[in-house]
Amino acid sequence: MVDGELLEVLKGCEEVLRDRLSRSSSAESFLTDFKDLVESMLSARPTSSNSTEWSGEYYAAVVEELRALGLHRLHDVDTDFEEVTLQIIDAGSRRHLLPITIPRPGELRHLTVRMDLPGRTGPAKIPVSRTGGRLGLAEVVQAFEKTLEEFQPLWDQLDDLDVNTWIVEPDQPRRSHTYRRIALGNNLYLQIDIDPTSPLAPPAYKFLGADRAAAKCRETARKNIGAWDATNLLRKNIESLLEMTLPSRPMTDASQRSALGSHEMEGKECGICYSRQLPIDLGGDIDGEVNGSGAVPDQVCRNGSCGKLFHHRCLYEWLRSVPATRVVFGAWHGSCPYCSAVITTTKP
Amino acid sequence: MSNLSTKRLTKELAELQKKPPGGVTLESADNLSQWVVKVEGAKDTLYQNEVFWLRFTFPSNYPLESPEVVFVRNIPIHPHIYSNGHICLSILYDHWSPALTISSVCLSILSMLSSCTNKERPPDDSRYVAHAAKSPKQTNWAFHDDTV
Repeated sequence: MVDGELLEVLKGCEEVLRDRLSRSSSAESFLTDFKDLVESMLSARPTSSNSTEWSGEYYAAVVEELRALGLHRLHDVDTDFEEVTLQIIDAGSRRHLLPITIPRPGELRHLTVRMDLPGRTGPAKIPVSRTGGRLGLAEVVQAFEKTLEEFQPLWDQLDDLDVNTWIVEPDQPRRSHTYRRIALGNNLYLQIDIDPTSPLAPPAYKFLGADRAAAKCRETARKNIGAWDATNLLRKNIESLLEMTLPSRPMTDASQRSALGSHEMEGKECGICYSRQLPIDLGGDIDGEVNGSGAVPDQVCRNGSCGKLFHHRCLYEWLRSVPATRVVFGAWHGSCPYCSAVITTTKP
Repeated sequence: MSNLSTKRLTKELAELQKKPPGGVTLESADNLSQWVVKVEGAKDTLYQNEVFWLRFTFPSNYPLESPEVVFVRNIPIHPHIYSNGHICLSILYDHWSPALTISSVCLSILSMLSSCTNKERPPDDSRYVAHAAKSPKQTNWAFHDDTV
């Protein structure tokens, strides 16, 4: 370090330095003091004074914007202050998380916002030119809240289905998911895809499952579709359409859902292959629908204290490999691999 | 090897390494089709202080089909264990179920050893060993003793 530089570092502490010099008992202790002083001055010195001052102001402004929004809306901030997650409660008391990437100082061109909304794919980039040089978080939240309003009718119907029926897919529905696969019992499923703009209208639907049963449902639905009442609950309309009450989620599964930690996942996995989604090379060779790859376990042991779940394909392959399994009118009757209770399945 | 067994074996392997049951240690698993597991004879049994090795060979459709399980290196003297390492235990053959795991199979074998009261080879050992196929799964086992 050249003398000039050292002088620059020590500028302003000449007084302290003189004081230390007069108090030091030996040259060694003064040098130690001197070294400490230089080190503390160096660490306090901004590495690049210009940008630090500037980004300090910048981040103070960001914090101010967050404060103006109300800190109750702040859900999470990452340690590098690169992403803040806001939480917005909508009119239906549903909580929405809104992760926003904070641009680095000097790179403020647009905000990257990830919105979990129907029809959105990928994050949205909002140009900052529209927000007057600030991040414009308030404007983003306002726009998001307005969009939330549009989807209230959709989510009312979906929430009702999620609570009252047995949804097998999506496994953990997100707000952007507009489809549901509903278990009807006896290995039969109804898949609906709801139009977000008119959630009370008849949704696109198809039946998945054993041919004969699916055909019967299709027939019933065709007969009743004319009586669809777009002022009634979607669930009630589906029940009238199928002339049945939609079964609710089996108790065993529900209690496993509330269980904590990894046990929750364990309970949802197939008791044979130990996976949640059916491996690719096993499914999809027959009709690619119910037994397709990615299918979740939907066969459940009816013994209340067992309640193990299996993939349709895995259970069928297992029962088929056991000589004691009986086949009666296309239904395979055998015993649960876990509890030996009678379990029945069909050819997937 | 199919995805069906890969996923499941990977999970079983992790479980066995993380929390193996008492007296059971994974010795080697160079791949997902053959593992060697070390089992230690339980205290206060005829096999106390003895160490044995079980070789598991997994078929591609495991767990729909049982693994082939044989003793290697050091064969315990037991009325249901032949001197070629083959084990007469119903859950390894006719009574296999996908609910069983490598851990539970090891424990069943340890319990079979523990309940033994008389260390001796099966009465038909020499005849069986002379004619047995390489894999015990090809043997037509008759399980006549459910007590051991």
